[in-house]
This record gives sequence, C-alpha cells and structure tokens, in this order.
Amino acid sequence: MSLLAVNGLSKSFGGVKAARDVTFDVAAGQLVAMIGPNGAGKSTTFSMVGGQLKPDSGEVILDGRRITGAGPRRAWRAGIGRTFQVTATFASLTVAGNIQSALMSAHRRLLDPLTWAGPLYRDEAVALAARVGLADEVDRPVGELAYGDLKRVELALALAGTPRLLLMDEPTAGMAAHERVELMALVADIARSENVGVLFTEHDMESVFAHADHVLVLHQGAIIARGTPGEIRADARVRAVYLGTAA
Amino acid sequence: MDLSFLLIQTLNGLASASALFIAACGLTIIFGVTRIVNFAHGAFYMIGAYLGVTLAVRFLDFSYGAPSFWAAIVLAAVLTGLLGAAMEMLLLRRIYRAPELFQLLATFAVVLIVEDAVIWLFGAQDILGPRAPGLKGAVMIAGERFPAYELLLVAAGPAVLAAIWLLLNRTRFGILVRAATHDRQMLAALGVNQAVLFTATVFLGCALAGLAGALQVPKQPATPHMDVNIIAEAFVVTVIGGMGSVTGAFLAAVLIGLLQAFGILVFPKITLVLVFLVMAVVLVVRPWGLLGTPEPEIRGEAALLVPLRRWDRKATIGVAVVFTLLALYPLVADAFALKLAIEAMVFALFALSLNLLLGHGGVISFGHAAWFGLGAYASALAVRHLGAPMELALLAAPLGAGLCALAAGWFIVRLSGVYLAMLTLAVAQLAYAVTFQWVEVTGGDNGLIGIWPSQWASDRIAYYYLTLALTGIAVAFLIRLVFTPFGHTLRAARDSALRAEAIGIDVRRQRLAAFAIAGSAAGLAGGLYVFSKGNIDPSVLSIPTSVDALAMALLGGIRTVTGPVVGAAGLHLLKDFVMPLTDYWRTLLGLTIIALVLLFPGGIVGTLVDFLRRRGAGEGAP
Amino acid sequence: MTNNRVTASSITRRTFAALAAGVGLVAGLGLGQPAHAADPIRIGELNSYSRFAAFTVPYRQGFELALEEINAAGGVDGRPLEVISRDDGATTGDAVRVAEELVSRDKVAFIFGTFLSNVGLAVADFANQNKTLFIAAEPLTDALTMAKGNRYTFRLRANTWMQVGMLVDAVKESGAKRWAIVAPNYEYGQSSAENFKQLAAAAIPGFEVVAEQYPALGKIDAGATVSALEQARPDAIFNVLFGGDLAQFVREGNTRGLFEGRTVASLLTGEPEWMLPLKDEAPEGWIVTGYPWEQIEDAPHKAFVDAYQAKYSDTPRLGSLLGYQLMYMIRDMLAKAGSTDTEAMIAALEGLQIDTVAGPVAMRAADNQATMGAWVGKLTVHEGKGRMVDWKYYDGGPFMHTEDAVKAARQD
Repeated sequence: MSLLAVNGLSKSFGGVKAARDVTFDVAAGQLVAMIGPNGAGKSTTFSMVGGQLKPDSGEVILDGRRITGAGPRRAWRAGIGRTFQVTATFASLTVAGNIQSALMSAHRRLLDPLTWAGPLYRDEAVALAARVGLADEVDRPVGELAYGDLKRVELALALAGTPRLLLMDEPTAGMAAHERVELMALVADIARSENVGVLFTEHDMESVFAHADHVLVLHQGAIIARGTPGEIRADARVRAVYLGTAA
Repeated sequence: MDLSFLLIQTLNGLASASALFIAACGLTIIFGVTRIVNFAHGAFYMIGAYLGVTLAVRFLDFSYGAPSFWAAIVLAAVLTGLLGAAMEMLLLRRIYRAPELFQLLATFAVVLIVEDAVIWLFGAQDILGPRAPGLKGAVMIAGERFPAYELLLVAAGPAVLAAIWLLLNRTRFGILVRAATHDRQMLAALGVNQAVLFTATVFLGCALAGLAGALQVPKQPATPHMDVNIIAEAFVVTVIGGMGSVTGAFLAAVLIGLLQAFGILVFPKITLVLVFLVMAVVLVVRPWGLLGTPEPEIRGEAALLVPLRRWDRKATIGVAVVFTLLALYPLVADAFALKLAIEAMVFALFALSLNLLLGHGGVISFGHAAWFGLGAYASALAVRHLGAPMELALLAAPLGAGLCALAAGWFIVRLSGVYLAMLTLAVAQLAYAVTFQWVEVTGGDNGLIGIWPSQWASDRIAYYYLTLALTGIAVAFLIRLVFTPFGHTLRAARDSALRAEAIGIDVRRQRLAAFAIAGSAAGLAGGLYVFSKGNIDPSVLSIPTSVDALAMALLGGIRTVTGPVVGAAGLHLLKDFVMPLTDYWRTLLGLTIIALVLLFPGGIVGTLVDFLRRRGAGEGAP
Repeated sequence: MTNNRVTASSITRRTFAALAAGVGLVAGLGLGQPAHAADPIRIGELNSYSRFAAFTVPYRQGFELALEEINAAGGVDGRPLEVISRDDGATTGDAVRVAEELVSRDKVAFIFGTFLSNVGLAVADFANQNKTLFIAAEPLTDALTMAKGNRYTFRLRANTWMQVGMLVDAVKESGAKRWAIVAPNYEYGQSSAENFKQLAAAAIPGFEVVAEQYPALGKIDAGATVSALEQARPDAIFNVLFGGDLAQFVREGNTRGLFEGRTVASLLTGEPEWMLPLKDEAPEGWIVTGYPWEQIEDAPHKAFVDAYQAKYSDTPRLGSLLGYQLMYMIRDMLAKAGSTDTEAMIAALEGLQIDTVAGPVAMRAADNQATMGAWVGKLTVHEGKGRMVDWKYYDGGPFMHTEDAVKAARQD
C-alpha cells in the first residue's frame, strides 16, 4: 500500500479550474516530483494535500487514513511536513526558536504556561538546524537570513514533526547551484534512510531528473504525463507544453 | 401603525442614514488606501460643523440666499480637507515606518488637541446655525409634514455615493485609490508617488468628514462633543460595510438608519446599543462585513517583527531592583503619592495584559476596557449584592473577567485584523451598555459606591502593599509567560499564521487562551482599581479607557516585554501632572503624546533597546 | 536622533523634578498647622472645567465674584478665604484622585464642586470614607441626598424631584391627560421621567403616558423620535432633553408641527445655559424651569447681576448664580461653625438659614438638601432671544421629598 494516495482531487476558483481530477500515489521512501509551468496547479494540489485548501471533490489518504479537507494541523499530526513556495517562517524568532516552536507543537506543549521556553528542546533544534546546514546560524533571527537559508529553516520545520511525508514546494528556489545539489542530496538521504515519502515541485529540471524516482507533469490543472525521469524526458507532449517553453 | 407612518419613518431612517454615510465614507476611503485607523475623523466632522456655522452666518449676512449658504458648506468641507492634509503631511507621514497603530495613537492625540482648540476658538457654548434658505419648511407627504431639508438629506447620501463612484471609477486618482485598496503590490508596480496619493486621500476623506459636519448645520448646533458622538458610529458603519468599501458603508448606514427608526418604536431604550449589536451580529455572520474583502491588515502590521530580547540575569536583577524600590516607597511617600503609585501599578498591569494580545499575540484589541471594567464590576457586585468581603471580591474580578473574555473570545478569534479589533470594540460597547442600563443591578450610569477595602487593608500603606503584591505576581506571571512555550508559540502564530498551522499550532486556540489570560489579568487590575477609589461606574468600560490602554502599551513599546509597564506609569503620572496646569490640559497631553510618538517610534522602551543594540551595548535590560 | 533623546529625557527629568518639588513644598506647608488669625481658610474645589466649560466656567466666575466680595469685606473672622480650584477630569477616577490630592496635599478644610451626577456621587462617597465635608454644586441626581446620601455631603441646588414637582404644579391645570415623555437615555433622564410619572399621576386625574422615547445622549435621531411621539397623538409632552439634542428636537418638532396645540413641560430649558444657544428658536409656549435673571427686580439680585456683568462683561447663567450663592453659604457656614473642624461645619450646615440674592434658603438636616427653589414660567421669544414670561419663583421647601421618604431611602 502506498504512503500517500491522492484520488481525483479537483478545485476551482471562481470558475477557473486550478486542479482537475488529480490522482497519484507516493510510496514511503520514494521521491516524487511534480512539474509544470507556472499556474499549472502545483501549489493548489500541494495545499489540498497539506490541508491549507479544501478540495471541491476527491480525497487525500495518508497511510490508509482519510485526511481530505481536515486542515493543516490534522495533516501535520497525521505526518505531513510542508515547506512553502513563498517561505513562511517566524521572522522574530531565531533559527532555533523557529524549530523549537515545531518541537513544542510535536510534543503538545503549546499551552504550557510555566516552563522556560529557551532551553526546551533546544538540543534537538540545534541538531536539526545542523542537519539542514544551519549550524552557524542557530541563534540568528530568521528575519535576517538570506532567502536560501530560509528554505533550509522551512525544511527543518517540516522535519521537526518527524513526518512520514515531506511536501516541498520549490525547496531550492533562491539557492546557489552547489547549495541545491547539497540540499536535494540531503532530502534524498532522509527519504531513503528514514523511509519518508517526498513530494516536491521544482523548476530546476536537473534536480528533478537527478533525484526523482517518479515524475508527474501538470498542465492546466490536470496530470498529462507520469513516469520515470527517463520516460518524462522522452515524452513528446511534455516537451511541447513544458520543457519546450521553459528550457 | 398605518402606512403613511411607515413611509414617514422610512424617510426619517433614510435621512439619518445619509448623514451617517457621509460621515463614515471618508473614514473607509482613508483606511482603504493608507490603512490608517483615523481616530480623528470625528474631530474633522466637528471642525466641519464649526466652520460651516461660522461661514454660513458670515455669508448669509453678506447676501442672504441659497447660493451663499451652499458656498459656505462647500468651503467648510474644503477647508476641513486641507486641515486633514496638513495632519497627514506634518504628522502621519513621519510615522508611516513606525510599528502598527502608531498612527492611531497620533490621531488620538489630534482629537485631544482639536477638542480644546474648538472651545478656545469658538467658545464653549453650543452654536446653533442658520437653517438652509429655501428649505426651512416642510413638505406634505402622505398627510404628514416632512422637513424639506431632511428630504434633501435623503437624496444627499446617494448623490455623494454616486460622486465618489465616478471619482473612483472615472479618474486616474480613483484608479490609484482602488489599486491601493485592493492590491498594494500593484500600486508599487505602477510607480506611484505614494506620499502624494496618501495626502490626496486623507484630504478627500477629511473633506467628506467636514461636509458631513457642515451638512448638520441646519439640523443641530455645533458642540464641542460632537466628535465623540459620531466617531464610534462612523467606525461601525465602516466595519459593517466592509473596511474600504464605500458602497458597503452606504448599505450599512441604510441598515442602521432604518433599524434605528423602527427599533425605537418597539424598544425605546435600545438607542444605546443598537449599532453595536448590529455590528456584532454582522461580524459573527460575515467576518469581513457586507462588502469587504478578507483581512485588510492595519497599516504596517507585518512590518518590524523585531526579535524579543532574551531574558537574562540583568533583566531579572532590574525587575528585582524596581520591586525593591517600590517596596521601600512608602517610607518616603505621603498618602497621595501612594495613591498615585497604586493607580500606576494597576494601569501597568492593565497595559501589560493588553500587550499579551497586542504585542505578542498580534491581536489588536480596541475593547480592552471591557475586561478591566468587568473585573471591576465583578468585584463591586460581589460586595454590593453578595456581601462578599474584599478578599473574595478580588478573586471574583479575574475570574469574572476571564470567563467573559473566554466566552467573547470564542467569537472574536474567528476574525482577524481590523475586523477582529472592531468586534472587540463592539463587545466592550455592549458590556458598557449592560452596565449602563441594567440599573437595578449595576446602579446605571451613577454606578456603585462604597466599595472600600476590608479593615486590614483600608489603611493606604496596607492597600499599597496589597496592590504591589498582587500586581507584582500578575506582572511577573505575564512577563514570564512570554518566555514559556505558550508565549513562544503565540508569537510564532503572530509572525506567520500559515506556518503555525502547518506545524500543528492551533492559532485560534492560542489566541483564545491569550484572551482569557489577558482578560483575567485586566480584570484583576480592575478589581484592585475599584477598591482603590471606592466606586465604579460605566465610564470605566468606555472607549477612552480602551484608548488609554492602547496609548500606554504603544508609548511603552509593544514589541518589548516591559515597555507597557513603563508606558502606563509614565502616562498616568503625566496626566496627573498636566491636569492642574491649565483648563487646556488635554492639549498638553495630546502634544506630549505626539512628541513621544515622533521621538520614540518604537515606544519608549522599544526605541531605547534598539538604540542600545545598535550601539552594541546590547546587554541592557529588556 | 541623539539630540531629540536628550531633549525628551530632560523634559522627563524636569517633570519629575517639578513633581518632587511639589511634594516637598506641600509637605513643608502641611506642617504649619496652628492657624494665625490672618491665615487664609483653604477650600478645595473641583469641577469639569475642560469637558463642560459652558456650564462650569460661569459657575466658577460666580463663586470667584462672591469670594472677592467676601474677602474685601474681611473674610470670616478676619481670615480670608482661599479656593484651590482643580479640573475633575469629568470622570469618577480622576475626580476622586483630585479630591484626595486637595484634601491630603493641599490640606483644604473641605471640598465643593462637581457637575456630573456620577462624579458627584463618587466624590460624595470619597468624602464619606474620608470624613471630609463635601458640598455638591451642580449634580441634580436625587440619589446624592437620598439613597446614596451621607452625612458629609450637602447640596444647595434643587434636585430632580423638586424641579419636576414644580413643573408638574405648573402644568397640572392645563387639562392635558395623555402625555408623551422624551428624555435622554441615562440616569438623569430616566429618573426625571420616573419622577414625572409618579408626581403627575398624583396631581393629574386620568393621567396616562402614551409614548416614551429615550434617545442616546448627544445622539438623538430627531426625525424618527419626533415621528414616534407624533404617532401616539398625545395631549402634552414632558421633555428632559437639553443641549444639542434639544435644539434638534425643537427644530424637527417645529417643522413637523409636533408642538402645535400641545402643552409641553420641559426641565431646565429656561436656564440661560440651555436657552441662549437656541436664540430666536427657543420654543414658544413651553412651560419650563429656568432663570429669568434680567427680570428679577429684587435689589440684592440686581446688585449681583450688575457686579457680575461689570466684572466679566457677560450675562449671568444659572451656574453663575449658583456659584455665587454657594460661596456665600460657605461664608455663613464658616462664620456659624467658628472653626474648620469637619464636625463643627456639619453642625453649622444642618439647619443653616441663608439669605441668598434669590431669597431665603434653609439647609434641611434630614437629607442635607437645601430648600433653594427654581423659577418656572412660559417661554417666549423676545428681541431674537428666548425669554421666560409669567414666571414665578417656587420655593423648594414644599417640593422636597417627605421626611419619611428620606428616612426610607437613606442608609445612614
């Protein structure tokens, strides 16, 4: 049985069909890339899986449990860690503070009005920061970080809940080339070693073809092709609607 | 109720709706473009009325007739607009980069100054203006006499609506205004000179306020209190309609005008609460008003999310020193100085409790007086009706206020931004109305008297120590709370609700808990306050009390832990200092607030901390 | 930026320096208790000068005029009177704090003043707690001398009950039975309406109330209110509105003919404070309580009016008269008491007989309410201004609460 099963998801915004009958699976330990031009419906699909958007129809099943439209908190508790295309972090908190927030949530300490927050889960947070390459930035407010580093914070936040599925919307946007390679290698390593499923979107085709086990191509809200990187590279239709224009 | 009466009453309702709409639409336009909550809008309405009266009398003396009269009205509106533009250029523009709500505070200071200036310039006595030439009489409608001028007002509302529609849809200025209201990024992309656009918008909005005031000349005298009487209603109309929506404001005004005209037939005493009741219901059902768009943020809310200084040993020592000094204060202070200190401590707790919401929760509350007042009333009622001793009554204060805050908060946290703020205002006004009108229980507006401390605490020094102990514990708890997982994740939710939800933080639940805690703390402050002055009346729940709390927190610095305490003590002592100086002490207070706002754009403590940080001396107390 | 900060902090420092100096000064003065014959008698006064200047400033001018006269005549037992006057902020919190400052810092012998009823009650309660004498100036609420009265609190001005009683007496023969009531939606308006219902029901056979309207203070929706009253087709109207609300009500009512052929009884409308702003639109034919100062021919009153006009180049308001009478009452009290001991002053006030410029007034011991009356008459417009005609001065005595009612209501 697959880790994530997405069946027939559709969503319209005022008559514009942003996603239509999107169906796919992600297995544990598998990296699935979703590609397509801007406005193809990638972020919409991500938000429906991550719980930020409620689909008009269709269902999202994680590990056999239906989480369709249950909201982002339920999705997170069910094991989905998410990064956003436009980074969403806690600007006034430090890198460690950001990650600690997620750890406090994971340990259900959100309403704890007595413990000092500073040292709480700090070691774990520092370890996670180091893991995503932010060892030197632990005590800097994230408001001061470069965009690429914000993406790393996002990844650390997603990982803090020990997710079963990572949902990563353009995880390497704004990074230098060598950083991208590093980060994607890290993600791939996490997926393999911890048996985490990864669904990601990416504009950088090199990353996609280098790391994805499986590729989904979205066009005008619908999946028009799917397969291994090799198959996608060879698909004429994909080349026409996407690679031809983007590359 | 016959048909002709229905018709007449409908026309009555529409006439007041027009007046209300014209008064409110400027507010909504200014908010839409600049995101400024212009508290001084009522002051400009009042200026319009005084200018209208003065000019109309002069012009009619010169040449009696309709042209003179209407020229006076138009000129009054234009002059008012120019004064508004001056306010924008001289004051507001300087603080656009300051943290959220500083403009609100600045406009509040303008209100204080204008109220005094009007008395100084025009005298304290009401000035009844001339009636409009040619429109003095009545027209027969369905067998009843209906004033011609009211009929004109019925038409004036839609006429102003149409004019604004044309302005917004047929001119370049209008396109920019709409762009600014709906999509600020687009505005930046268009390469617009924002300063000019803002000035022009504030001019337009204030000119409309002035027009509304001047149009009242044939109806009511210009009085030095007309600003407070219109401002709350204008806000309500703006919010019900949807902030930034002119058409929405019109619909809201019609709704309120008609409900008022017919409501008083069934419930003659509903006049006090009706508008706020309508607003509360509309906001619960439609969180963004009738025609509003989701979540227009109050100006600059997302800006300047500065990190909180870490709590260190020096901070603890600082607090301990202050506490020790306060504990020693009775050795050198006389009874009155102790009274001032007691009040300062009470307000410090009040302001600090607000800041849990404002600074740390990112939840703007315009109605924090509700919890302070309900705590005070909980204590007073426990004494009056249950014969409770002070100790129990003081327990009732945080409990009662906290429970009320929890119940109201359940509705409030469903909203966000300025709508949330306005719902807090509505809740506070409803609480105010209940204490005002439930005479048998609350004593009505005369309030309850004889609420004095128990024997052991009736001595001033004993009560001082009691206050010091209780506010000390509460303040310590609130400061401590900021550094707990609850406080930490509350701030996280403030910084990014999207991210917070994505890592399992229930933003509404965090805010609701913050509401309950802040409400309890404010309630305790209220309970201590009532025993310090022996009486309680509804004014403690009124808008000025909420504004005081905002001013204290903002002046101290809402992005700091201890700023509100400093702001509260400072403002209270300042007020006591300026009041005996002159009858125009409100002007002094307003000027001081403006000076502080300009000098300390991050609040007193906030700016200080910033300064130390930039000097690299970074280890000072937070 | 640095410069600005220096300025600000030095302002703050100066503020505190001034405060500290004030503390030291007052503490120093407070020690010099034993009174020399020429030491002034210090009296504390507080009122809403900033918020309600139109009413409180004439009152202040009134008592200052009297103060000048009294001191020119040698004060009391050779000691001049000194009044320390402060703004009460028009809120109970500020007023109680100011009252305390007057008593504990300025060491005044007693306090007087206040305008709003809730503020008056709060200060009265403070006086009770603090065992300080308080003489209320302008609050009208019955509660001040009834349910919430205390032995330290006195009032000169006729309260709501008395004024409504006089008005009812003036209109009971009009034949009107079906009454409509319009009053502002707060304690003064509501209790006036209740008093009227009670007193009119007793005085007018067949009295009934056919409509009631309670617009929010300062926010009347005059058109709708007038229509709602008209709809009930009353014989007569009892009005408690004042200020801007009244002006709107009068304009709307006149244009729509609400007052035609109807008796209108109205509280306070004849007082210059409220009548002057109405100019030539003062509602003709209304029966009102007020103050026809320009027509009162008694010599002492004329002397007061002349002195007032000479000093301030302004016509007196009712507040002016009140302040003037109040200061003379204070003089008489101090003379009778022979000291500034609170108990002695209270004993002096109870039953005190005063000859005011408006006639003799007695302070009733049962409720600490004076018998000061009011003028009731009919409004007309004369030379572009409102004017009372057919007026008569009602002595307050017969209209006071009965002593039984006082005993039942008061808790002290």
